[in-house]
Amino acid sequence: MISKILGKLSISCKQATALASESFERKLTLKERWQLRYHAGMCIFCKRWKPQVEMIEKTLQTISKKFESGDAPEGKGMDSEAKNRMKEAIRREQSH
Amino acid sequence: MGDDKKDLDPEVWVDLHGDYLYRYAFLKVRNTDVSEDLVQETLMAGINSKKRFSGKSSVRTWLTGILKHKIIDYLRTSYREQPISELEFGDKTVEQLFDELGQWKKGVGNWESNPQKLAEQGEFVDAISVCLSKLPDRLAQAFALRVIDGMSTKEVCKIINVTSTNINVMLHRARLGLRQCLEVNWFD
Repeated sequence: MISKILGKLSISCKQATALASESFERKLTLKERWQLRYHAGMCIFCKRWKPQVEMIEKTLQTISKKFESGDAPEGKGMDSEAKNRMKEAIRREQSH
Repeated sequence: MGDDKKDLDPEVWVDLHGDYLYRYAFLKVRNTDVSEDLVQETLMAGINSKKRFSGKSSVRTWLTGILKHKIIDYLRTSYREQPISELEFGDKTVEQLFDELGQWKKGVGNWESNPQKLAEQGEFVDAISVCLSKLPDRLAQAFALRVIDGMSTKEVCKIINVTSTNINVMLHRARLGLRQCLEVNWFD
């Protein structure tokens, strides 16, 4: 009886990470939550996976918030050629 | 964040806001040429509607608002003209990471780190940028809309023109790929 239940709870790492991803998008069913918990309890890799992904997403959201406040986090900008082309185009547009 | 009259002169917009707008666009569309085009369109639109600028927000905020719409329009059009194909779903990420039994081939490392501190490190931000760039463009775009913009699945589905199941598959692939890339390029 117990092994039957445990059997149903057993999922692979591939399934566990997929479920963890789903948990970002919707509420997992009770069964799904148990499956994830059961697997993460036995698999250190899968236990680490979700918090790492959460951290990545949080960092991206922090970057996004910086943008929203008018701050440009570091990154490549446009090269001077592109900028000059744009300035030219603006000058032309303005002289109409 | 006040502006003097000078900031209302479009000629200085490229120098003042060009890079900011470009980076903003690139984060969402993942393509340098498209990003440049969108910035240019935004500045043009700004020139043409300068009269309607109320001055309540800063010029940068106002231009960013214009850019946001252009980005969404671009994405919507792009996905309508070139719907996501089966090929893009059959991406190899999952096969590369898991064996036939569905177990991790290489495992998941222990990232001992303070998330707050990491987010403040310019180099980590760069690493994330590099890893985002390694994702297939369309995956990164969907991921940006959902995770960076915080759009609901419903809204993302409308723009990308797929079902929510498909979006979830795409997001999962993006997560797997991003995390793996960071593990290799930053934490190792």
